[in-house]
Amino acid sequence: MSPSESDLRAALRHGEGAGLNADHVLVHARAGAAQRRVRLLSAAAIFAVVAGAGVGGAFLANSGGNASDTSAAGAQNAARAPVLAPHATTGGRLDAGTGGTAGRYGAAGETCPVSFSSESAPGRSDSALRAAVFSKPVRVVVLCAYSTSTAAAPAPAATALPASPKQLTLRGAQAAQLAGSLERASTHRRPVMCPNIRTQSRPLVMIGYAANGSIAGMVITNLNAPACTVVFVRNGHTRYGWSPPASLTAVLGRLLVPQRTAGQVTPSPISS
Amino acid sequence: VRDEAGFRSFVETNGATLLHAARLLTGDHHRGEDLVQTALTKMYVKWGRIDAPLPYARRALVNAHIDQSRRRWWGERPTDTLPEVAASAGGDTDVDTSDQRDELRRMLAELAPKERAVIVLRYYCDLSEQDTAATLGMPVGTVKSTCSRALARLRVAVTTGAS
Repeated sequence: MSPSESDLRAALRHGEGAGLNADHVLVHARAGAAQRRVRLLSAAAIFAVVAGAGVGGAFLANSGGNASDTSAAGAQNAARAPVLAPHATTGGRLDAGTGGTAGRYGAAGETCPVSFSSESAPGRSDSALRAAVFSKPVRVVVLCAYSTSTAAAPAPAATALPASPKQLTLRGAQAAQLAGSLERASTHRRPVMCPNIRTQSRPLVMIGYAANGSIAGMVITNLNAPACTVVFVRNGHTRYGWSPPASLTAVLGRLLVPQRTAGQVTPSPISS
Repeated sequence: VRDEAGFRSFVETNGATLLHAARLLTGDHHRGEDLVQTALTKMYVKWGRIDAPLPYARRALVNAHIDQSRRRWWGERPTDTLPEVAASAGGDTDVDTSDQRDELRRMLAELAPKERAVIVLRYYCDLSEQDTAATLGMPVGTVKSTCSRALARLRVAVTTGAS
């Protein structure tokens, strides 16, 4: 048997019964619509809760960053004085500066290394002598004043320095001034009578940060005999007779005040 | 907000056709009722935005059927034994005719869901190839080839079953 189209139509229509109960269909349709509404509302509520949690988390995270911004703004005002205030979280940490990208170098940013070694001090190649101290334009300079006990250099006989480094952060124009003075320092040694640095060593590490937060260079020098300062640059450079800019002398002096002991020299403008 | 009176009228007018089409698609009376209820519930939610209710209902019916047939836990289980049908009070000719119909309906249940949808829309709902293609969301050529293939399978099956 090979069914024709009419046979197929007849077979399909066979058994066509009564219609649907419209009331029954409506009841089920209303229930289905209500369930759909509940599902949509539940999904919207879940979305709102998740979004609220996300926004709240982001707000809390940003409020932490704003706190550092606020401290940086306060530091900006303070720098106009210039008056330095101890950092709230690190006992020996100071913060100062004008302008710059505050927040990027906030509380979670640069910190002084616990100790440092001067063993990577300077190569003496000609190219090293001519090269720049900092590899990138410097926006932030972090100064870390170490006691000799934390430095790897030989310790003096007696110092009253704290075990943790004192930290000072310079931003913007002040950072640029300091970096510029280092760049301008002589690359040639000059004959100057100097005290024995080893016995009065108070290492100062200056870490320059670029605008993107990366380290542009690290400089090691000594605070106690600035006239004889040999600036060792981490990347193998050496500069001689560096003196800090006059405008920063007071600011840098603050770094030393709590550590001053009898017989130590307070930095002053250097005459070489 | 919804035009429930309009929806009720639509159900009363077209309910029988849709229910029978759903039975043909599913091959089962109860699953056919569930299928048409599912399609009508979807229509009820969107009733105010539907311009052509009957084509929409057919499409909802076919889509719901194909969706259900894709679910493994709802997989179709074709069976050789059909539910008993009350015998008509006619002579041998009526019995033969009834047997042929049952045989065709049984073979229809063994077709693939899309082939079955094409056959039901073309030969039960009397849609043209273009309308069938529009309802199923497929090209007209695909409808033609699917329909031809399904009819060929029906013929072969019925012929083999008769021999």
